[in-house]
Amino acid sequence: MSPAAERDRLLAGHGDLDLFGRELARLDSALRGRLNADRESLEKGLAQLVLTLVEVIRQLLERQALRRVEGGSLSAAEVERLGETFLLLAERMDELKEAFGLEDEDLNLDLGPLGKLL
Amino acid sequence: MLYVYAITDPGASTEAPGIGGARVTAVREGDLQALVSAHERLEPATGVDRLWEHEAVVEGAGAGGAGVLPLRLDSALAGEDEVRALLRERADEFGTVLRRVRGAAELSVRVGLAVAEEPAPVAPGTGGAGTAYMLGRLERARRAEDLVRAVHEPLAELAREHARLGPTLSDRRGQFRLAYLVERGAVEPFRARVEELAESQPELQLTCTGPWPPYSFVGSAA
Amino acid sequence: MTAERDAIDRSRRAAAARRERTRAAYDARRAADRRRHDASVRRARLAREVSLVDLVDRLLDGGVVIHGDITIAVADVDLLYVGLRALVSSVENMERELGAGLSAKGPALAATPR
Repeated sequence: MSPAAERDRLLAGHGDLDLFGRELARLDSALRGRLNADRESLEKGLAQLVLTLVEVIRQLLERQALRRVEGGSLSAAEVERLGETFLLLAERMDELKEAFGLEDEDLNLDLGPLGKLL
Repeated sequence: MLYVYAITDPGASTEAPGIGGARVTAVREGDLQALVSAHERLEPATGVDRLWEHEAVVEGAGAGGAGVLPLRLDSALAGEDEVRALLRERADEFGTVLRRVRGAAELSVRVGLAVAEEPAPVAPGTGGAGTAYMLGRLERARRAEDLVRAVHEPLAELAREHARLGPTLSDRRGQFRLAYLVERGAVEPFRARVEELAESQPELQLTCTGPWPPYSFVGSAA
Repeated sequence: MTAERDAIDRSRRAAAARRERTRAAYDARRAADRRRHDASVRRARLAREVSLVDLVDRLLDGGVVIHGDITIAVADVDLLYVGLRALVSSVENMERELGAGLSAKGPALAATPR
């Protein structure tokens, strides 16, 4: 088998394969980042780490809140208050991401042998 | 130091060179063997070549029909004694998983959904912006779940086992990762069914790759 | 005489126009070939990239994990990440336990084997 054939495992693909282009860039930097964890500028690296943690917690809380809304155990006022909080948090995250020049896919950490954080 | 590629049925071998062109040999213990290569010094993988080298050894080992448990990238042990100890201590577990995956390959299916990002409109009198946000998220999650299920169920019928791979941030952009453990002989029918589903549901973006070694189905051996 | 020259001119012009059309058709064919070739090269590249993304996912997240005495990685960074991972999985476990009683439907598909 030639190396080119070996590396092509696409059995069926429809729609926009370009979806993978950005993912690939992220994965490539994750692989390199395993060895060079401190190569990025300190400020951006720290912002990325902190925002990733905030994003992890935001997602967990939001998923939990959605389950409770779905379960019907919350009053209308509680749902509204929760929603306002998450809406605000989502907007604030977008602002912070923009301020530090980070994309959604930057808010993840490759944990080496442990896999990816998110 | 021994880089460990896979745990296999005894006798499985591969002609593929190991990482950095190293010779791959087998360490046998009881009814199991490990495929390894010896290195003075190992650096962590920093590029894609290592991935394909690891992959080539694992695939070569399974090409003759032997059961193969692929190890996670960059698994290494100090020497042969440690490898034998691993095979001895976890023999039952490895044997069980080998029985589950023998004769099957993993196929990956990614489902991309063009689910709208804007909050869904909310009927008047049901609350304010916060409620609209929550109901919008909920509705989107439900719609995505329904669409993914419509793809998953017909594919699961053709598979021995299936798994939904953990959520990644890309799921937020509407991508879902599914994995199927499929008999080697059923790979082509599976692929054909993916094509059918893609044609009948043009709003979905389906991507199927494989056959892969059963990476996503040996994790319970961890 | 004039008529004859006119006829020659006409035939020359016609020949030139024919050459022009032939060349245009040739150029169009070349362009179409090139587009097809570009598209197939692009598709081949994307197919390899898609395959690579799936392979990376599998090799970093899947596969048997052995807790060997050697981890090929940068120790400090890994320790930090081990801590983060532990934090996240404990929150996830808590979430699962809380969620089990609250969710009416539960997940539609089998849980992740990880």
